[in-house]
Amino acid sequence: MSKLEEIASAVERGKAKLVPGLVEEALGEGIDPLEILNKGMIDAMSVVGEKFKNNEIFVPEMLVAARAMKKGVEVLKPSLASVGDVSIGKAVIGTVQGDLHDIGKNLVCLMIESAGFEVEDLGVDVPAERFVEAAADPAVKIVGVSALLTTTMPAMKNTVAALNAAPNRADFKVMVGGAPITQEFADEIGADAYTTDAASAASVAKAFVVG
Amino acid sequence: MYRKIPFTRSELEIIATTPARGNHKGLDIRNTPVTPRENLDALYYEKKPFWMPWYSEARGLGSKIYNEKLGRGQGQDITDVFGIEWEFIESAGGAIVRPGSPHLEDVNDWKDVIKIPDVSDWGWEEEARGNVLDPRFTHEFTFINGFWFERLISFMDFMEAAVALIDEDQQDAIKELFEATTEMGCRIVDKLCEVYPLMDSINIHDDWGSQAAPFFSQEVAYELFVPFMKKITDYIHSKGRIATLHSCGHTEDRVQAYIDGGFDMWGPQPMNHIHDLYEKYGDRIVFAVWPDKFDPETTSEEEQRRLARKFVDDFSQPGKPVVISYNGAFAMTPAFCEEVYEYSRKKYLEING
Repeated sequence: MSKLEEIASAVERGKAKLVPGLVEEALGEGIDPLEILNKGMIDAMSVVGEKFKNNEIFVPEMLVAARAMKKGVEVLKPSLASVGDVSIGKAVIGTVQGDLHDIGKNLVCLMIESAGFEVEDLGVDVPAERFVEAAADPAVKIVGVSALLTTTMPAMKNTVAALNAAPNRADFKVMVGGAPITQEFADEIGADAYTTDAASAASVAKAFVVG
Repeated sequence: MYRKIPFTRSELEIIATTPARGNHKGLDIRNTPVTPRENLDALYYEKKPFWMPWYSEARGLGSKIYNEKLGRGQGQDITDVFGIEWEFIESAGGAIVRPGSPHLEDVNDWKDVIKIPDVSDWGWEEEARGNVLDPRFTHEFTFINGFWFERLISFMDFMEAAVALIDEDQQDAIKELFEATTEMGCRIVDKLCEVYPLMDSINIHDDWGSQAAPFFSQEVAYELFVPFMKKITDYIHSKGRIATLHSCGHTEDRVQAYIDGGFDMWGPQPMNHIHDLYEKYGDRIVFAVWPDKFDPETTSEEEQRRLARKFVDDFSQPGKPVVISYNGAFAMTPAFCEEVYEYSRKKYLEING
């Protein structure tokens, strides 16, 4: 098994204690830090996302895999600094005003970060104005809006309307999700995408940015 | 218990209406040959109901004490007995812990952070004096938040609670914590049985899934949850009561765990495939089922009656009784309800003799 395969395997299995050491070893062997990031970790997280989508693994396994990757990225960061900004864009993600649910939002944050985005987690109970303010950052490519309650769907509608009215709207995509949300609702309120799970959200976000 | 009583038209007469429960509006009670309580006893203990009952034929036994100490309050912000703050969300009609400042970060520290209360002196007797139970109906007490995953989430926030489930360094502590919370549950069962001799059923909450999938694997379910479920359901059964489960989410792949956990009934949410579940497990657990969707406003009475008969036919196999779920509340029209009663009554006479 190559070093990159070892890293990928450790990430997939959520071995947060092993990954930093393996990344150090890979760097010591002269492997390109970008290759370690992309092939050793981001690709591994894509596998994790697929398994999650197919119910082969569940939330805990996905969380520990994402955390293991994070540990590896910490070790990799100084080496990546020399090659410049390696993130594929910035994503800001939050749960709409009046809604305190954070499970789906947190999973999407983790998977989108694991796909190579810089993520700003706006938290829960986020007013529409806060989404718009965060989206004003020129680095933002994705705005993720989450709602779990049918009663907070109107807040999602208001948030997307506010984002759609932003002067820099062409610079970012709006993605929505949450238990009561449907493709029809996403279309109706003018979101760019709706996904049913965190892994799909990461794939769609990546496709928006890198094609 | 079950005995053959021929159907007569006079049974269709409406003699009372139950109070609304959940999103079930008040249900018309008919001039039935046995009480709704006797029917549910026959359903659960002999698998031979007299008719197909709506879930709301069992009455909820409300408890301010439980809801303020261990539940989610009743329309107001509360701090529960463990010091967890629950924020009431008016628009949702429920309370939630605002995430971000977990009470417990590592389950190994639970004994320093979580004090298991003595539930015996919470004033159950006094509260029961104000709760007069009607012996014609089954009464069900609900343990909101339960004693396991939902409780752990309230202590730790969801993400940390989920990770803890597969963290070898925390799993033994989780078992210790669940042993303690389950024991607390058993002590509450003691008090409830003492102060409510007419209480028949206890419903325990533990949400196990999202709209798409279970939160955790079958292995985790059996390792960390089923033994504690079984402990309390065995205890409830030893007191001559029924144990029912409220577990939200798309968790049909965990039904065997619910059965092995000792539950007599589970009410799945609509994203679960109820027909498949009924076929596969209906002889081992009672499901709260619902009819195929129709619009009561635009569906003729004749069609509603046809749909009612189809619904009964779908869910009335011998030895596989069901109750009608809150998910079927949309169908509570006079025609549908009357047809379900009459048709199921006659059908069970054929089946049960």
